[in-house]
Amino acid sequence: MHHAAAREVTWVNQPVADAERRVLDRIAHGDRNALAELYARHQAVLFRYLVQLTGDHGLAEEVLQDTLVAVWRSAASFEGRSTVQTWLIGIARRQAHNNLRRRTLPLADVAELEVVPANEPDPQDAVLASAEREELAAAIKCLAPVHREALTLAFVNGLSYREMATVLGIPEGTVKSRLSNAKRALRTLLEAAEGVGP
Amino acid sequence: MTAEANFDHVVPMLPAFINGTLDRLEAGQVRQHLMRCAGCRAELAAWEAVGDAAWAATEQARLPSAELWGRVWNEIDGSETPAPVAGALPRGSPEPLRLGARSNGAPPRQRWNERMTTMLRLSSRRVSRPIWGTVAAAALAGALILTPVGGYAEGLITIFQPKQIVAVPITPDEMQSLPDLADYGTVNQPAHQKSQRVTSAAAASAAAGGMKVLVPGALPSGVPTTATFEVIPGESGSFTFSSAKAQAAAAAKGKTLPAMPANIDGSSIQITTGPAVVTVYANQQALSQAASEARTSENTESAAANLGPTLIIGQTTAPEVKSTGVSVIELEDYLLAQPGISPDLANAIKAIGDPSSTLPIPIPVNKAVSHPVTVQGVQGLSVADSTGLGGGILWQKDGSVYGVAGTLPESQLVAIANSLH
Repeated sequence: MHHAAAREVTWVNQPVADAERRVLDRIAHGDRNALAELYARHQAVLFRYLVQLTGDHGLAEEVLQDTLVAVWRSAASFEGRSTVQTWLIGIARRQAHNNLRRRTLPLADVAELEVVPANEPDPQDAVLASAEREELAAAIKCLAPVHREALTLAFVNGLSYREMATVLGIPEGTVKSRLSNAKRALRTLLEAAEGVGP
Repeated sequence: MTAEANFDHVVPMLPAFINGTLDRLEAGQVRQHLMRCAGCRAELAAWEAVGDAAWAATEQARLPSAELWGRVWNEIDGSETPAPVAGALPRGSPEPLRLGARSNGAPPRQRWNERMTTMLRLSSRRVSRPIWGTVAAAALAGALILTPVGGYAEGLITIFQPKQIVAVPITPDEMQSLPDLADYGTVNQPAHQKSQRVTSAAAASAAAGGMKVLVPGALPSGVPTTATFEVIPGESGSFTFSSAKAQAAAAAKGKTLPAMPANIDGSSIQITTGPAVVTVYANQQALSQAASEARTSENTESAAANLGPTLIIGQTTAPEVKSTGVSVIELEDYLLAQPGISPDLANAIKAIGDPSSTLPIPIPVNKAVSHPVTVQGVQGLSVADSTGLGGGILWQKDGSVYGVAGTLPESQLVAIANSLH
């Protein structure tokens, strides 16, 4: 269970967080090296998030470009109420929305409001644990963007429920529903591929 | 919702449990529940598989193109004129920063383990070896990928002596598929000499044959002020190319190789590294404890947390490669055409420019980011652990290679590098 101890090292990250805030301050004062530093630090997770969100490498690059320009222009507005990563993902998401609006990418799950997150273990989820990694990864790419996004934020970006709620603009309870729905959708895809299930 | 509010089962908490974002109390409650609930353990296994696959699903995401950075500045410059700032680079000058794919098979929780590994590597000999190992490996790779030559015969000419350092991004797949150079000839390396540890710069200088050992002008607060100095003797080795051996090794693996040019077959190169001095500012007790806990470790994070700010400074005379005949370009062309060298990697190496004076540093794209920095009046390379917890600066000046690394922000590392005297 060693993966559970992560929060215990939060304080180790604090100097990094402070340093990043100073970097944003430098960006706000027009320091180009500072934008390069910020990019170096967050490029990978931002890009992965955007590729998953848009499902398209070229589009993800376009949005990443828009995001960096937006960061350059709005660094002064960072108030430190979230981590820098959460703030950046929020900007990237807004840029993606602006870009994707005309492409009608659905980023809300109309069904999730009606579904209470599962509290009970579901024996059918065993199909997920026993699936091949590649098979699961391929299925994730077939998920609705709204579900892919939730899984990416949780497991690639490593955001907390609160941070996800901030980025997605939804209550924490809905974050849990969305993750639960994503898992259920993934299971359905696997079962369909294997010719079993509903 | 907390685990207490849903005492019977902890299903909704599991994603946050896996990605390590529950607080200590919640995580403890989940852990306790899991010990007695097979159903939730099965859910945990399902979520872990999903989390792992979520990582895997992003692995094929290529890096943003190198042009992206230029487009960003073009767009910014095309729409506004920001106030010039002292020290700012001219338009478009920051080079594209490369970072990306996670290694295959790494579940998300490994990020914490990797962090720990990084922390520990930034310490004591575990630090110095990887850092200088990287430099040595780069020199060797640079030499062997970018060079060759003639053993101890007459007419040795220097074909590789670094004047600058550049990053070569390398992916985990590329790393694994690199050809084994031992298959291409014979390595002749004298017995490894022992390093020695001393407690002053003067003693280190004496042990390193009079090398001027640089010390920082000031240390950031929190960094221990006493240092240990490790002196690693210089070494020399040679490598002799053999077409017959290369073909035999390839045949044994069911592969065929491009023919080795006649002037490379039988030629050898001689690689010489000078003495190196590695200065470590660290809490030695915490360091030993962290290293010890890391070996046994379920709770490596707390050990890392106790390590505190750590600083490593290294310096060595620039490695040198001599040859009797074959040119760097000839070797580069031959070696980069071998199976296992991806076109991307080959292009990255060819793009270096003058291979006879450039030390390529392989940067694993999943573990580190790098970008050029100016230090001591020359262009160096800033390399940061991709978690942001540690980093280092490498540069080459006046025939020596220097490195400053630690669990400190880049700005402090650059300041320390500039204060060395």
